[in-house]
Amino acid sequence: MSKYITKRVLVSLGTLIVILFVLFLMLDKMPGSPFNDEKLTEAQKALLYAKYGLDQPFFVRFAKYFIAMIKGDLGVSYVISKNKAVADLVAAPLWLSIRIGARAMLLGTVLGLLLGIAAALNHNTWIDTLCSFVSIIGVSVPSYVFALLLAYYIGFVLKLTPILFSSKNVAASMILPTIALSMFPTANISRFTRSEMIDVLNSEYILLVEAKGVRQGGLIFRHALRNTLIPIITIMGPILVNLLTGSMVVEKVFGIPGIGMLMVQAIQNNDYNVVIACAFVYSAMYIAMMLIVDILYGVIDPRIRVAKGSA
Amino acid sequence: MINFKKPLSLALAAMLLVGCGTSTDAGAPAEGTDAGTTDAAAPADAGTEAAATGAPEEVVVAFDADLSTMDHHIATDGNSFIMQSMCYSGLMSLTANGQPTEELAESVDVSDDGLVYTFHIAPDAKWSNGTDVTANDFVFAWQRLADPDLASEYAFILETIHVVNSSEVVAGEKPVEELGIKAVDDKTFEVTLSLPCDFLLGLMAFPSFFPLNKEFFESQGDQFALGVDNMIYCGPYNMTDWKQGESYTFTKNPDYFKNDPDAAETVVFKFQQDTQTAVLDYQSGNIDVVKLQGEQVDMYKEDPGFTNRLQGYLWYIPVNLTVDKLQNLNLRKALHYAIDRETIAANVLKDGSIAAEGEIPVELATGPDGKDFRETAGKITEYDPAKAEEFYKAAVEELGGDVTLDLLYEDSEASSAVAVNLQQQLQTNCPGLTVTLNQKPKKTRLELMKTQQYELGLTRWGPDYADPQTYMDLFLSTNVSNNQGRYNSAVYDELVLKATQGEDATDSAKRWADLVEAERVMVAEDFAVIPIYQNGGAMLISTDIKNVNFHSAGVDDYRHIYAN
Amino acid sequence: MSEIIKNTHEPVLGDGYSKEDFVFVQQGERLNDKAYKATSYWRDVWSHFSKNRGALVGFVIILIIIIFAIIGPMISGHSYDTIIIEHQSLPPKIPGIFGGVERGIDVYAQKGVTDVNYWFGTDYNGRDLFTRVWQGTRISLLVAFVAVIIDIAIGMSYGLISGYFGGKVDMVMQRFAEILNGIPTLVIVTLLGLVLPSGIWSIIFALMITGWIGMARISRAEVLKLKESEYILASKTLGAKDFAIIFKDILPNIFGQLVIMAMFSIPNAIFTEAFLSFVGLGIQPPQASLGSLISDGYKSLTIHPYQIATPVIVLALLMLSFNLFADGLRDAFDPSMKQM
Repeated sequence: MSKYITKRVLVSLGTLIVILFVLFLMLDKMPGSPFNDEKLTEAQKALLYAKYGLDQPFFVRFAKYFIAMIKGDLGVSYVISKNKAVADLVAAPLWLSIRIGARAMLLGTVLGLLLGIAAALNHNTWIDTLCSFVSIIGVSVPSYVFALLLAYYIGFVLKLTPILFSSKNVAASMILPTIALSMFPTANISRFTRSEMIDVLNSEYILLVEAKGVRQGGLIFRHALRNTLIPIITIMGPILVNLLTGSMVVEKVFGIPGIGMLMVQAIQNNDYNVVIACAFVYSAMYIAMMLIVDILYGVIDPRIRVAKGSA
Repeated sequence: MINFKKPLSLALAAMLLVGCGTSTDAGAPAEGTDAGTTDAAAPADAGTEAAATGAPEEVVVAFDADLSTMDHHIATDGNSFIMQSMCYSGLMSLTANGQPTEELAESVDVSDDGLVYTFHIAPDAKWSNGTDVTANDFVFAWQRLADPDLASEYAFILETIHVVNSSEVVAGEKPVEELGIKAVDDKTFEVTLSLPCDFLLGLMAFPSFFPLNKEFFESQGDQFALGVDNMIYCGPYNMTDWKQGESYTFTKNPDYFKNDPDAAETVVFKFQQDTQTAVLDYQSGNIDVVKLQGEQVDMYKEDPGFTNRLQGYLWYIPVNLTVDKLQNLNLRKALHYAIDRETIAANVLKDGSIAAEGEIPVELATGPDGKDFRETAGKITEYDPAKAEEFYKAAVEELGGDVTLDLLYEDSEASSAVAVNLQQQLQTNCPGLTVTLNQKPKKTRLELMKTQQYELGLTRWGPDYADPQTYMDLFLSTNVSNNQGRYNSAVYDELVLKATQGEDATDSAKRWADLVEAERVMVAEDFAVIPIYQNGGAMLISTDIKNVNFHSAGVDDYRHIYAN
Repeated sequence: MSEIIKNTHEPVLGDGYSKEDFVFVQQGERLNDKAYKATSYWRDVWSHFSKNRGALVGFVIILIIIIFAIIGPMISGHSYDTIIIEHQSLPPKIPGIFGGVERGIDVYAQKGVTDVNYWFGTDYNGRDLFTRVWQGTRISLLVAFVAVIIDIAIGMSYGLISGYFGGKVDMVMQRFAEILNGIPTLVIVTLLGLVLPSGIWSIIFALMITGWIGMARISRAEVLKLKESEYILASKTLGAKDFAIIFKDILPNIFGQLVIMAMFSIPNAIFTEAFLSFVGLGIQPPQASLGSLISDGYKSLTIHPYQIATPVIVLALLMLSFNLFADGLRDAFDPSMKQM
């Protein structure tokens, strides 16, 4: 197992370096420049390029960036917060986004599982239909529409929560974004749980357990749920990625200074170093999640562990 | 199997309810604890204020663009300038109606030929660390602005006011020490110009000309102005909190020598891109000043806090003259006459924008006769569908067929709305013309226009100072950076240069007449530039907020804002 | 239960039964095996599918939406891009159903618009929303279908080749897919949006560039399963070339899977397009898509909620019915899941 994990980690690191290179290349080929305000002259632009080393050949810049990055230096921002170190600029938003994302994921998983199980146990009844309806709404209404509706009804009409984010009151101002973001995981997980659960409940080993006279609650949670959970772990990765994308718009609606908003701003302003840092952070999180999901999958499902151990 | 389902499903349903219950419960205590921390934090935060005034008075202003820098020499955007002028002052400041008045300067002497300005700095003007604001701080600041190594986007502004040697210093041909400024003594700052400048005093309120303390600046190294601890202030407020992407807090500087006793204790600038939630928060009473966009303008125009202001920004289309078909004068005339500017301003934008009557906005500059430039120059744009059709027919004949034009614009809400309406108007009024729309992010649009990779492009220019020259300079054939359409007219060049640097530069009346004529040549004779509208701005300002001063040329002033 | 089991082992006769209690039956009857008509694979699929009510409903809704997307813009009597600035933001008005009233005010009367009824209302520029919604549906469906078909073509070939050859080829191809997948889609599409000319094809390209990876993964997994099976071995022994095996023997067997996957991808593609519109990278105005209509409607959600309601409802219906349809299709294709 540990050998497998080591190998996977090394491959992931290699992938990340290539991704960094590709990002660098894409930004290099992109039209526009961080320094193209209306009033800047060509001479000044050239000076700024020289000052920030943007006039050097592509590979020199990449090598320099890569070496500095290993030392923890991600360069400075050119536009968004001029001359601020990107590492400082990214850290706080990243932490905030992770906190909101994790809460949304947790809430989504719990609600999704409950809805899914309830639907499966009441297959083809009104409860099932209701759960399906909720999950369809969750996947088909964009999260920003939800976000604004929540802000309007819960924040503005009922005045239960703050509308806009405020760092003086982080926990309360995270409630609405968390709910808005959790819609998508809730919907997906409940749908998936439902169909897995129905499968498992109809499988022979559950019939066997039933025949043995195991009591109902225990039956579900000891046998059915565990086997339902395994495939659900496989969809966690894509859901988390989707959550990251969703966070960009939800952050905008609630004015949360998160990593998604920072990246959108950076892309709009051609702030190269910030774009690269944000995109790289996203990629790293994505690959890390894939890795964790793979490893978890092995831990939970003994068959895979055995198969990989012998391979 | 059927028999165990029901009780279990009931149990699960119950669990669901409990689950919901707990999650709400989990929310509630979280709120509770949070309220606790706020309470705990608030007295600590506002301890001094609370002691002084009883209740801290806080004004929250929502901005839809973020602060980009507090370093006033590299700042380029309006919001950064606004925040900088909270905590820094210039030699002069602008009164509510836009007239320059002394701020850090106690008095100003102007030589008879208008070439030497001597500023006497007030003895009480101090930095927030207690040291005096001296003439050397200005010398250092201006030299830094001109320094080619810094490559400040606003370095040109020194050339605009004709400081001696400014062009050479900015271009790197002379050392910064040769810039025409000097510290006569600690409190006397002298500026020497190569040509007189009518609008110099007003510009002294612009952040690019603000002072900088050399000693402090050097002690900060590359950290200068990156955080509240890396700055010292010389204005009515100190910046006390900097939360990037969220909010920026300014607290009254009790030691400032020209303190406005009415001004709010704390001013918070909150960054909120989505105006809908910002307006909801305004209606909940958490925000005092907020901008409106699109439909919101119609919705809230009856609101007691509704305010319309006119901005100096002029939106126009510089026709790309390097494109063959657009070199056809009849086609350009057709475009000019086909646009119904009134409808765009009044029915599409509705935010107080007005139809452009020429390339120079109204309320920008007052001529030697005391009249607004526009009043003197008159309305030189015209909407006339009949003429448009006629000129378009002529153009089709000359060009040998119908024309397709591409309209480039940026992805803001206002620009998109204007662009689709322009498309409709052009296609309706020039039957046969096809206009395709091309929407790009602002930075890309600018890049495409600067490199002439466009046909028609909707762009804007914000005046840096209250004089038509800020617009006229753009279209000189020598201005490679800003003359996006590559307008090249000997007549226009001669008129503008004569007025700004040549024989008429010293004669205000003649200078004015030259500029009026130059604008007419460009807009109504060559039809090289199609003015569309002058930007308005609709805002909601809470009725108990007073003293926000908007300036159409210059930086909006929140230094005297207060809440009743 | 145990008692019953015990009883079955007791001797049957005795206990008051006599031979007279039993008679011979079916003597002299000719017993024939009933010959059922042989059913083809597709017939079988159809019979499963048609029994699935949800799937049928989904199918019908999709059909209705497609029909509206085709004829909707024609029957409204308006064009999707005609701006009538005097008719700005009129609420829906269908005599007998919607009165054109918003916040208690009859906006039509207020603005003096008496001669037209806009069924879904109008937008900020006074364009008819009914026409725009169906026009937008048309564009969204077109974008989604084309993107997904290209996805299948690329993803399937990629997965088949990668899975079939295995080893080094597989390693390299998988790493490539992983890298492409590792870059956030938003970054890719944003950068593409800056480079590519604006329009439908750029959106399709943007959707495609990461969309095929999922297809590739599925087809690869299927190939890995199938390539060890006997019929492939047989084909190989008979001297079939690699590509013949891939495309003639394996492909038909995984096609059903891919069709299902495609049905699930279509609503996702529509949704992604909506997201692109929200970050300003969608379709170019005055053209409309469901995504751009939603993002336009969003801007006045708190003021004119009806402007966002119709495109969201159509989008939700599309997502719902494609999901139901795909579910039904999956069950029909895969008999092992038919009890669901």
